[in-house]
Amino acid sequence: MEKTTAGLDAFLAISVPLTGYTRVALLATGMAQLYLDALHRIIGSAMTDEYLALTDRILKDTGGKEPALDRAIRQQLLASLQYGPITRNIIQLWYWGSWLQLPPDWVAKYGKGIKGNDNHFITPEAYQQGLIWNAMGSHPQGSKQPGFGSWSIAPMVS
Amino acid sequence: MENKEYDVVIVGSGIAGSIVAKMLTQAGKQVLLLDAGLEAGMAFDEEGAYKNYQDYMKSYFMAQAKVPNAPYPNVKDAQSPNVLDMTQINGKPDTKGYFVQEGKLPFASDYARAAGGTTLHWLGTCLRMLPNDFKMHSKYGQAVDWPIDYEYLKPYYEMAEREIGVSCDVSEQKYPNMGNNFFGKDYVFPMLKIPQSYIDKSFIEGMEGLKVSLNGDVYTPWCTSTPQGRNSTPNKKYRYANTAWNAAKQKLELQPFAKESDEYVPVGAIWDPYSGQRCEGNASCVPICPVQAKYNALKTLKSAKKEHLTLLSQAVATEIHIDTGNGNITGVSYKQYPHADSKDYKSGTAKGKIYVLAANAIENAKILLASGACKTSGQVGCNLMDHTVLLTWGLMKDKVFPFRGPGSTTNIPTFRDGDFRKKHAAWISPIDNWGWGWPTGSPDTDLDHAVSTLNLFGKELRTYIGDTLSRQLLLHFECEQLPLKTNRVTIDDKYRDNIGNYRPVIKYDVDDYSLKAFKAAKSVSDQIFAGMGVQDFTNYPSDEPDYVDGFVFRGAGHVVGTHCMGTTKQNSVVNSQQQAWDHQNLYLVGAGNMATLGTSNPTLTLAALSFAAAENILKALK
Amino acid sequence: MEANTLISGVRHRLIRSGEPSLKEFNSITTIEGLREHLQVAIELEHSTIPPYLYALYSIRDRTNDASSRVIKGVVMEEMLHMILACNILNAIGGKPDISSPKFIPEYPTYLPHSNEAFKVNLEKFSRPAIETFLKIEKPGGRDAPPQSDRYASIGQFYEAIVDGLKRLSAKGNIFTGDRSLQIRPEQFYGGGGGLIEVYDLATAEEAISEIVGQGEGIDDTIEDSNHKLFGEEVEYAHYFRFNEIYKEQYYKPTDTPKSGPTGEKFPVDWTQVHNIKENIKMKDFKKGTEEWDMMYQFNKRYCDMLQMLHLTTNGKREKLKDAVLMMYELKYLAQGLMNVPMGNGLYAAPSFEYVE
Repeated sequence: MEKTTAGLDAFLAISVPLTGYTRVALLATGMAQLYLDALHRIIGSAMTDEYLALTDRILKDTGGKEPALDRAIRQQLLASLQYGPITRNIIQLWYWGSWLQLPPDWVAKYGKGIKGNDNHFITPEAYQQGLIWNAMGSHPQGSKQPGFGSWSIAPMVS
Repeated sequence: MENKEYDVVIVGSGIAGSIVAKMLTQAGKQVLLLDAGLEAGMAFDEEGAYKNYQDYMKSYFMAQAKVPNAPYPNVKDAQSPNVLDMTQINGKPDTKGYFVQEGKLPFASDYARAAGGTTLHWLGTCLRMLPNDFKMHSKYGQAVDWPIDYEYLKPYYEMAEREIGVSCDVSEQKYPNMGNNFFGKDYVFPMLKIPQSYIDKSFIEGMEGLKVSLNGDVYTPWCTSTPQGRNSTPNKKYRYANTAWNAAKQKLELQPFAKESDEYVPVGAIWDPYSGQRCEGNASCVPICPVQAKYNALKTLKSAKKEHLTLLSQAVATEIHIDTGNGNITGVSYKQYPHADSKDYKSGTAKGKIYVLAANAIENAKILLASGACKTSGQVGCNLMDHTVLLTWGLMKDKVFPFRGPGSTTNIPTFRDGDFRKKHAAWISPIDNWGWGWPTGSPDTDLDHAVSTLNLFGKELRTYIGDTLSRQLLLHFECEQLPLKTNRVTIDDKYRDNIGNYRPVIKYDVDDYSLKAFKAAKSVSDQIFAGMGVQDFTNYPSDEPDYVDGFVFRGAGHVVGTHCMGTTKQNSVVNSQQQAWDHQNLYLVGAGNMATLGTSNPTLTLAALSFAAAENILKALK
Repeated sequence: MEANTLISGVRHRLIRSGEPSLKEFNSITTIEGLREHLQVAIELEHSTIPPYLYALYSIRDRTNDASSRVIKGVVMEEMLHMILACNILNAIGGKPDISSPKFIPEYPTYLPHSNEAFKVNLEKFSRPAIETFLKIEKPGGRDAPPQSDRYASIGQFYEAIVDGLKRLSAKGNIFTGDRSLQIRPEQFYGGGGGLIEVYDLATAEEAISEIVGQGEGIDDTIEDSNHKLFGEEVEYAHYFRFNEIYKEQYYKPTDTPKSGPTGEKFPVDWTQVHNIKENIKMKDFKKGTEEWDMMYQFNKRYCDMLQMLHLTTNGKREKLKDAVLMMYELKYLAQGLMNVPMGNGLYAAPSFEYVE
């Protein structure tokens, strides 16, 4: 749990450009390992490892630099019939904490027999750690409450 | 306990039942309270109450759709309606959820059958009704007049405001035709107003000076801070310690503090008096306040006198028994289930001198219908009302940072009363603090749109969210609905629940009086949006459950009517004492008694009525 | 779980630990001396807050509820004590100083002006941490004399202040402070006890009773002073609440300080804790790294919050609500840090250091 595994490092590395948040900001959510575990659990370890090998290559090939990285993410991940839906799900995991059901067509072609592919929050904490709230200058509804009267002034965003 | 006869048997632990239980037990009466919800919800010890509430929180966090009933267990033996079950009714009854919806439109509000009742997920808005709301017939030729008026209810409103712990700045409260003694001289609320939101400030500034046309008349709409049942800074000027029965005067009275130095102390969570002493801005009041800074009826029930109160949980009242000779009620049958969703149950009968049904308007009607009670008027189950809520939404020019604070902290009261009520419904317009959450499911639907449709990721995505979601504005137009005999709750042998109790069969529709108000309200919204430079995103898809004539309305969760109070036993179910016309020892309490709806969220009014009912019961018991 | 909620025992009169023998301590004899000691009192109350928060935030979500609530309750009361000390200082014409660099102790630290019998660390929720908390809150006992310096218990230190207040009041009015500087009761919430406006000897003594009573209990009871002062439900003093965690057992109403807790098992799971580095410092990270930035961000907000409290107690009392908002934010920043690995099996944590 404490050691960052090679898989976790790769997952974090691609999550940074996918989310627009720093590595430490992502670590601070405490969710990285759980999201990676969710990938393994739902799409299977073989496809997860394949995916992370691809993202690793993208980061290496582009040196992590724009605009090459942006183009590579679009062309090799978002535009990919197989990896596009996974990529979007990873983004939404970080931002919302919930797995989104992969479409039937995708399942039929790439994911026959996969399990747990329904809409669900990974854990109660996953909902509470969604990045979307911070991005809009708020906090998760029902959690991380900002205190009495906080809503009457502009947010103190950190 | 089977053989014990209590002074009073109460059905339901929501705000109405809890207030009556508290007042009666504190006056020394022996009370049995039956509640349909799970036993765990009735825990009042520190550990039990905390643990149960954390279970609610966990369900809330994990729920995909965070609808009002999402945190609370939906027990098959005492099912709650769920807004997710509401769909368009196409010819044949929709039986998917707990309600059997016969149409034409689905009744779109829910309630919670759990300890504490629907106050678990109410928003907390605590507006009093306006004087004219009680005389709709004589004033506007619509519906009926109540057998009581605003002046009658005023002292009980003050008790309700003490009980709930309302935060409000009385000097800011300006309503149309409120008269010059609406609050009484020097009246203050227990706590100072809940700070208005950043959105409110921007909105108020934006609307400054705007003139709006409605039916050929010109109005200058204004905003007021909204009175709310959630904790804020105590008001040093507030001087009441509690409400108590004065046996000599045969009255309930607000009691002043014992000492000059005493001050109002906000009532915290039931598991920890220091939790929730202020609203902490969780922004999840509906469905659940994590710190219980928002009032819920468990706080009232906890302060009932324990030695005089017997609580029976998981006990679903099914029928009341009537003495055919004198019409008196002789007992309440209930089914007690041993665990959630169990097919078995134990039957029992509770006995008392007086019976109080406080199980929510729809459940009360169900019990009365199942018992063949209150038959004279033929009005039981009729006159079901709700605020039909027309929503309009758009993007403000500047960032206003929604999804923060209580659901709503400011409203436009301008159209709560006026001559237009001869033609169409009045409405109140709360300014919503939670973005487009209600109509569009934001923020996650916006996220999905940005990621899947706009193909955004990374910093661009983050910026997009920061720039757009932070500008979301949502207005409500909560329109009053008239009492119609045809909007009704019935029962049918075909539709029973897990333990053989009736499910509510509902017939519901909106009439012209409402439809004209939708049109008028939308026109007002258009003028406000144009005047403030709000980019309008409102749309009313024809596949929404309550789509009608180009509009979509939503339920407000205000379940009102079904056993209305009136002037004769022919035109109503209860008299002005909230006593059933047909059964001398039966009192019905709750929003079911309200003869018309007005534009106030009904909880404060039903709480005030419950104090009045408690007083009447104490008088009757002497 | 009934054990912790009601006490049927004897109600003790509100007195502090016996009449002190006044010969053997450095008594406070000047108003300047008294003000200095009250400034120390503020620093003393503050110095306990970071270690308590450090342990509190290290507890994993949804675990150790009972312990979390104990520590949170104590922290809220320490904040109250700090403001009470400010009120007393303001009442005697002093000026609380909450924002200077030296205000924040460098952990590990001795309690300000104590006899340096033990050091206080910033450490995760653990037995050793609770052991230290017990030392901090240890009751003085009946025979302990007041000590204005090198005290063994916090109670002794406050005895010396009470003695000074009385001694100086006897010579003339020392309560010359501007009443508008007092933080008012309705401004404090969320914890046991209540804020007291201080304007004379009686209210000053009341404030000190509140501070000492909540910490150590009164006389030889395990209860704190709240139910006597405020008619609240009975709560145990800090020492005894911590002792319940330490001994993993609740007190029973009939228990005494000597008997220790003999009630039901108090549930503690010492493993459900973030493995954070003890006495962490910003310099544990390379400047400019994301980790360092986050540490800095916390400390910056922490110092801003102290600055806001400083303003609050120096005439701008409406700023208290801003300080409170910052406290909420600090919690989330701290919890975030505790998820950030340092690479050696340990995780980051808030360092509570002064930054510009």
